Amino acid sequence: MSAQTGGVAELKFRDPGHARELTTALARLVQGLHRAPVTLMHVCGTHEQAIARFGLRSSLPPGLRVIMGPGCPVCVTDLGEVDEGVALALQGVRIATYGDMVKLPGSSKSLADAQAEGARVEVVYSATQAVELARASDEPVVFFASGFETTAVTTAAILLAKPPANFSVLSAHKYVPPAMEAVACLPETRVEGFLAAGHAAVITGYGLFEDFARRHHTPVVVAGFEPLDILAALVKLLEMIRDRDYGAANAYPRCVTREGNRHAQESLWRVFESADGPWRGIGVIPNGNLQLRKEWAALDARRRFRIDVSGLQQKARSELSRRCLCGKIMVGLVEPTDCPLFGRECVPESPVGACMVSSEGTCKIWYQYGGRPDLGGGT
Amino acid sequence: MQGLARAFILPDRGRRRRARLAGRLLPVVGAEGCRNPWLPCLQPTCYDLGMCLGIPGKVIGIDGMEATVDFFGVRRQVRLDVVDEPVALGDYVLNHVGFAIRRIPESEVAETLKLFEELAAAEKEQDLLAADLRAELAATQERKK
Repeated sequence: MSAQTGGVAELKFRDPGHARELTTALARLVQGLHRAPVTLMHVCGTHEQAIARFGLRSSLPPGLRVIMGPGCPVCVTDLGEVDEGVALALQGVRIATYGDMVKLPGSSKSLADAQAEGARVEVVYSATQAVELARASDEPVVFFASGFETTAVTTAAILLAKPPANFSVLSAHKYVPPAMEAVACLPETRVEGFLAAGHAAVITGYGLFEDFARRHHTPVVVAGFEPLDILAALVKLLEMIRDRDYGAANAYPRCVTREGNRHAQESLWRVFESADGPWRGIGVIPNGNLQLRKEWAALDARRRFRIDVSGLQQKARSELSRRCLCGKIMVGLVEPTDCPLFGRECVPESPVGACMVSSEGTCKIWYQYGGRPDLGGGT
Repeated sequence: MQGLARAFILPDRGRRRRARLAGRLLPVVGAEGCRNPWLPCLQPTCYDLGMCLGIPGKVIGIDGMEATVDFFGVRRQVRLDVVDEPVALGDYVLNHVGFAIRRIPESEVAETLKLFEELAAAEKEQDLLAADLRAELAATQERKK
């Protein structure tokens, strides 16, 4: 390990002593609330990965439930959006997209299926790679862009940097705050506090959540991704619930500020505007989608190509997909293990629902690591 | 605190076992071959990173809007369009899908640690068991060798 500050910090973050102090604090706070269980929701696949990988749930007090909400951008990409990508690919347009999107099922086909039929689908790690693909040839390249605001900002950046004329974007970008709103409004929801995703907040700032927290009497704490970041944020969240402090707090100060990255916000809203749109398994989220503004029509694949999805949508949903509980899992009403298909008909190699496709999907994470691993001594 | 100790010390072993059960070593953060099994790396086997994961790295070269960044020993090109502050050689930046989204001053890493100390201070009178846990951690590493 080189002499980087990251190395030193990393050791401290993994400090079991700190973890012990924080879990003791959690247990006391939960006890002090005199009601159990207390349900807290995080909205980030990376949080779920950290929680599952480090077995954090086994060290939480019995009266505390931490569940994952709609925090996986690939999982909430709607069937119709995948259909658009597949239709374009089958029309012979070259598609560039993030790896997780390829296996994501559409109404009847995924991009992988289209690829097997001869369509050209390229996996890119970054939006810049999609632009490079377009620069290297004259044929049209469509970047099928997914991701929340942090990723949408990078798509905005490449559009602002004057991409070549044969490049365009099919946006499946989503905006998280409206989805938190939707979850908070569900009558079945018993979420008392939210952990907001650290890197979305790097862009938006944590001040964005203050209004939400006040209106819903649900505090929001921005959390980092180290196990101790998450435990510290949970402690802060329970303290705010105890003190009826319905605001937003920052437990990730090394990366997140109140205002966020203003420059990035400006670019984001110069290129995108929010629009009502369907989130898979959840329904239409008001202002939940990010679509390209009219000024960018020339680079908008939806305006540039005639996308015919009729051939893909006719098939009725299969018996298996009707039994899939992804929608309820994504709003935190049930856990993956409650799904009759989990680990049986639905596995990462042949996913039925979107949550088993993405590395940020609740089901895939639970399948890989176990959501509530039996580590002995835990609940 | 057996459960907690094991949660913090053995996840790697559990993960590898599950990965083997799944028939292959999954390309996840800290996959085999990474220099540091605890940290996300950018080797090709580790590309299966979540899209909202951000990785800090040190800027070792700048060419216009592109920087060469060292992520714990792995060098990559990172775009500087999104970051809102001037970035200089030696700075740490947070990378997200090939874009620097924030410059991290070194002082803020220490500040975060301080925050944890403050949060935990209220519970100090509790028996910490930290020494035992560290000893167990050390022993676990010994056995691994």
